Amino acid sequence: MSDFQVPACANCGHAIWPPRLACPVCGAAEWTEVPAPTGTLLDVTEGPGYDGTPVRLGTVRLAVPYGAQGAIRNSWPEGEGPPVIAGIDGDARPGDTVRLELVDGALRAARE
Amino acid sequence: MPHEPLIVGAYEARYERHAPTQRDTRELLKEATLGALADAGLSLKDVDGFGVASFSLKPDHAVDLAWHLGLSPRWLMEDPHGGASALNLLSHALRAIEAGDAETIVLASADHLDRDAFADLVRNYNRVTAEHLAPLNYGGPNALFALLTQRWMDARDLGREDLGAIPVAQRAWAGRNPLAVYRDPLTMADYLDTPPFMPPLCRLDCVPVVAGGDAIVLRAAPAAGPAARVRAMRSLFNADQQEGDGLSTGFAAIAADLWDAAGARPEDIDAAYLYDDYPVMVLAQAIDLGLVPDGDPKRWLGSTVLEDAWPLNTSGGQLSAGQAGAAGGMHGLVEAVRQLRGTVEPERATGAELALVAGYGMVLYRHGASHNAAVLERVG
Repeated sequence: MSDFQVPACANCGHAIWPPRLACPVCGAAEWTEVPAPTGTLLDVTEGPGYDGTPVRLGTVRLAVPYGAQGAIRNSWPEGEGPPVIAGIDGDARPGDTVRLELVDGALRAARE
Repeated sequence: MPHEPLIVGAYEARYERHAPTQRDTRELLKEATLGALADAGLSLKDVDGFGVASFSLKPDHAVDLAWHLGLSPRWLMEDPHGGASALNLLSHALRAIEAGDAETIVLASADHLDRDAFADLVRNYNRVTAEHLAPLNYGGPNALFALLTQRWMDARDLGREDLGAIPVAQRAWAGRNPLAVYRDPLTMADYLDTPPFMPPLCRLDCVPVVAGGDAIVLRAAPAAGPAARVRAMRSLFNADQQEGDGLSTGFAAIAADLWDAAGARPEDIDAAYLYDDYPVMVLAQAIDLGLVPDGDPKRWLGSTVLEDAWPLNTSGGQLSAGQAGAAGGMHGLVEAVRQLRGTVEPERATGAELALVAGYGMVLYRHGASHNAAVLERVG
């Protein structure tokens, strides 16, 4: 399985997920891909999914640079990448470094 | 001002917990429209402007509904932006009346979503939800707001007993609103005894889905009786591009300009109608719009909201009165107008002369993207 990748602005380097049309920082509309294999799990919840079976979802802050101009209106630490929603596998807890994989369109995260 | 817009009527078509078969979306929009016009002492024949918000009107649009109601409007709008739709429509309707494009405008919203329609709305809320969240067997917005609520609780040292003030206090107001679907008293002990199904959220933190509708009528001044005038209104969309920590919202960016334009301060407000899809969002709006002057959320929740029963979402809010789809965006506005015009049941009359109404919503990926807020005053 190849590493999870996210678009980064070809002009300013701002990394985003999910993919969008134009860069929210500089307005450029060309993208490159950067590897985003890992991140930090920030928070987790667990409850019934669409089919009634339990799902574990969490917010993961990707370990990719945000780009030279940094995040927008964001009070989180600078130098960290975009926050993403992922399905959390195994016993990963907030604060853990997790590895990300895109499996059939589903972004999954598990402890390294 | 040559054409000064005033809100002269408001009505809520009765909310029902389980989507009834005899009242579909069109019937609810009709009921809300006719009710608001009757409240204003007007009829369909007076209407020359019409705006609609509904998730379940498809395949029809505003023009279909206007046709079915026999209207020939000079001004017509439709807004799909859920919790922000009512104030979006309002902002355009104000300008239309000021510009002379229309003289009497009805803004109506309603939804009738049965179990399947609601599930489809949640699963296909937008492209990103369908492509990036649905494959996770995602549990709908409850899951996203559970994460956001947990983040708030960690960052501001809040417990369930703090955020529980909002559903508990709003339920006390709902007890005085015959239109609220949940009116039975709710104590903090009841709240704390309700187990979280999506930690930290329990079912009392989630809005009951209902079928129902809301409408208001705007008309160029003068009004025959008491009316509500919009002193100022501001909007902002995609303030943080879904990249922020969620601990501040787009309301923080518009608050100073809103209060300045309204010629008022947050402490002048007699009642507030904050969008209560989840308790934590009420707190976020209150802080960002300046209603928590000392910045202490625990004190505001425990003292102002719970002990003092300060007029917050005096209908019971969506948490107790129900969320009728896109009409949830108009629910607080209708209650605000009714309070300002003095047409609510006496049990919950506040005598408010100045009210704050906020709209919030459209969860694009992690949290709501749409923010708008208006300061309304009683005139006449």
